Amino acid sequence: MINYNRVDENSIDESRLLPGKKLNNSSRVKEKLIKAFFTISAFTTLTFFIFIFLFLLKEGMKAFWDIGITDFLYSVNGNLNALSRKVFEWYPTSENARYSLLPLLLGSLMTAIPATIISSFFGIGAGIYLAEIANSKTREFLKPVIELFAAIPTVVLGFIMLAVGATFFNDIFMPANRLNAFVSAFALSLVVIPVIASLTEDAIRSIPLDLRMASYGLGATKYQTVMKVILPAAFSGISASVLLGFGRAIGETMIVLMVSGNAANFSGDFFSSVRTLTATIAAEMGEVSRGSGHYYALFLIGIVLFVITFVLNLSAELIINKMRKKNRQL
Amino acid sequence: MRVLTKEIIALVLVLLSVSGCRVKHPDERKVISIKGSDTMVNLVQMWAEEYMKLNPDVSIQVTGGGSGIGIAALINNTTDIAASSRELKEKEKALANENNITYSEINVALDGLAVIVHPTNKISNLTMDELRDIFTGKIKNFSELGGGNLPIVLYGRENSSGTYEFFKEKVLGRNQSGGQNEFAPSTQVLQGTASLAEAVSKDKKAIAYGGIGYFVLRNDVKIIGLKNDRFSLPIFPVKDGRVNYELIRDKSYPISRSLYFYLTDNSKTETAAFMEFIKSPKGQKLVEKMEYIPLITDATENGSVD
Amino acid sequence: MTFSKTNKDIKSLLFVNLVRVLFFILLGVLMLIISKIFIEGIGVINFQFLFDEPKNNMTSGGIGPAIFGTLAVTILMLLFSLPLGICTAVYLSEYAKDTLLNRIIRASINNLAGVPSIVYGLFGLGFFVLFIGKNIDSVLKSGLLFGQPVMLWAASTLAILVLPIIVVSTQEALNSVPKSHRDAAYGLGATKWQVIKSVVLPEAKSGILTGTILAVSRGIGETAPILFLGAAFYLPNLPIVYLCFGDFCLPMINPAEQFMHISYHIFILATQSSNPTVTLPLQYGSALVLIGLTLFSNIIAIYFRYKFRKTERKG
Repeated sequence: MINYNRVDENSIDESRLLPGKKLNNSSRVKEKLIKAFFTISAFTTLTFFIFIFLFLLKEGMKAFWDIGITDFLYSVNGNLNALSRKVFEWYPTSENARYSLLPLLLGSLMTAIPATIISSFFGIGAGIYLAEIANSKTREFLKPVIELFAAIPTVVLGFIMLAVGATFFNDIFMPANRLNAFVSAFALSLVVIPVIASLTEDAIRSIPLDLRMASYGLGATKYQTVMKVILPAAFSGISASVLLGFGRAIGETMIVLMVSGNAANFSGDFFSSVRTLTATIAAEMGEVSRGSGHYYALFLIGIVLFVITFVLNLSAELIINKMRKKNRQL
Repeated sequence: MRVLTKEIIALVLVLLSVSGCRVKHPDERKVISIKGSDTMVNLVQMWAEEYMKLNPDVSIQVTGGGSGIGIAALINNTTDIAASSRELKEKEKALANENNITYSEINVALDGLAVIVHPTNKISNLTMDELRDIFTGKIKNFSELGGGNLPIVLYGRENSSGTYEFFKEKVLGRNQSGGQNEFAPSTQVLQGTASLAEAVSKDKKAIAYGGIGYFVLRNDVKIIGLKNDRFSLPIFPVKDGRVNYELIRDKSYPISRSLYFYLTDNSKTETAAFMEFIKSPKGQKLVEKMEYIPLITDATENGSVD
Repeated sequence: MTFSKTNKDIKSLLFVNLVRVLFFILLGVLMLIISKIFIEGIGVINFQFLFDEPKNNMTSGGIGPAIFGTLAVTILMLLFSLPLGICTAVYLSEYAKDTLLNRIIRASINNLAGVPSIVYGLFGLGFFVLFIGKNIDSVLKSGLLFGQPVMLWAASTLAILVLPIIVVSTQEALNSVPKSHRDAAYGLGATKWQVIKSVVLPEAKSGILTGTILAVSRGIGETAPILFLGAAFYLPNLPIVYLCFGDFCLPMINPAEQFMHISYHIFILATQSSNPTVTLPLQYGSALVLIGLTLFSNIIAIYFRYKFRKTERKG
């Protein structure tokens, strides 16, 4: 039971507490009201999340009604040699409006996947460095620095790429298009690396010391310990971080809006311009009139993005939970 | 309680500071909001600045984004004036009807669309057919037109742009079965004509289009002459480094267009006064200064469309 | 934890140094970007730049209105998100049992954080502006006031965006108040609410402050949601209105107006400015101001987190 003598004088100012009261009915009601107040707040937050999804869903579903499901995958161009040919085009403002989402989805993937690959390489490396190689004073200093990296507003990164980066890469690679998927992937990695680095570092540091001691005790070198013991043990945490990083890359808007060239091309060339799902919403959101097919189509894109990032985040969270349970068992 | 008093005071101050959202009284500062064309946005801003100097009690808010944005705002009833470098499409007229919006269309200035390439590009003029084939992606290399061996990189505006729509209709036109021709999907999309000029000045393979005002004073892009067919003389929209008014006014230059303001009919009196200013010689002088083509003062086109 | 005595073999040495090099390349790129912005931008920043409005088609003048707009919308955003976020965190930390429903709430808050910011913007436009705003206008008969993209809706959208940050940081702060403090208060006869009000919340104050500052730094830098929720290209006047008591007038933020914003300004200058050569220094200057604000608030947050951890270790 509670030992009154152990009350720490520094931590509680007794004058702040009301003298002990017996809980009479009005106090009980008041307590219940207060609890209800807080409960309602929490449920309001939950409601926002559900509501956003439902609203997007409602408006997005009207797109299917207005336009037709297959039209979001491809349209049929009956004018070519009387053979119907599947065409993947996004021309929402034409007379013969075409709403294929595939070039946009491809564009998002073509910027997000290379960005995630580059970021995994550098991010996991940075995580390993911070967790295993740097001494604790260096780590205390450098970890916040990486987090500051994450704090740079994406519009500034886009601006730097436009002012300096695109021309830099243009001179090296001589691509067909100056603003292309590769340049955006590079800029995106600047955003994703801190995500992966931070989580990797957390994952590696949460591995108990015993495992390391055991490994070194058996005579393993640092290289062997890291590669064969620690990384496999932290595998779930690291994969969660990559998933979250990928979700961040797909959801990023300003960078791709500014440097990807915004051409709804359906090609696999990394050095050509692409148009992502996010940039499409950003570029066309202002010009849709409420109630037009284009308006609903943009909401459909919104749902697609919402679902993709939701799935990625959920998977990452499940993996992290599993990892936590496993670590407790270790 | 002592703990919370500071927070409560801060909260009250902030709340007070936010309670300013009252309904505007008619005698307070009058606000006109103008949204739409990026082509026109600099011109509109000049008009706004000059007009506000003369009428300090009026406040004009200018936003760009493309003619499509202005027209959408018109249909959604979220702006007073929509600036547009093209006319309303049938779809838009129908939507306006559905939403019970009536508007008037006023021609405020004229403009010419120029086609630009990098200064080192050997091409100096094109026929309208060649222009169409370039931008639909049929012609892929400048060598097919007598220029150097450079794969063509197309630059264009986003699809909310009136310039985009106008160019598509006038230059790309229709194919044999009556469907609209589209810009090639590989066309790089940039926001705003100024960024198109920037891009072309940095890319030897580039070709782009836009309101002539953005190009005429730059010496890092080359404006191309347009011919109606292979045997006519090329027509250049510039003369001695300034815009050539006559060729655009009489439409000898193939891609000339009108710039419009669309007003919702429940507009305020201050909007009418602003329109007077724009049509006046003072207002049209600003049109000249910004490298657009002023209207001939007496013969202003003023159509009211329901 | 470096165990340096055991990495004398070649592979380990190579490995360790390779990783070290990778890390410092990363750091180098970061430093390069920040110093480039600093070098190019610092020359532009002076009193005029920070307080004047843009002139001559954005080719001269300053970004005063943009800074004001940024601060105004951020204050509104905090006004909407702080109470809701803190109360939600209090519920989750103090009142909630580990039921399925509460786990769902926790999960949805974490997932709210992962939604792309442009989707929030879309929601804000479709719901706040075109639906709620229009209805408010028809009920209040105020003409075209709330039914258009204005600061109020931008702030609301940003508030939902930063809500997860505030909830999570506040939860962490509340959870790190030692159980012994709570037990002591209960032992003295306090009710649950009294414990929260007098013991837990005061001790969690610096953690809550950290969360606020993180939310601010996130909210300042987000451009996508405000693209079509009220950020304007050029406004001749600040979005304020005067509350007058006779001759004495107080300026107040008017949330029913459009506003200028630093992030939006950078975006516009970078992609659409009429004369990029002339505006480039201005772009660098604006970027520097924005980064300055963001980094500054983050550094404050880190400092508070550090100080907070230290006092917690003592207690």
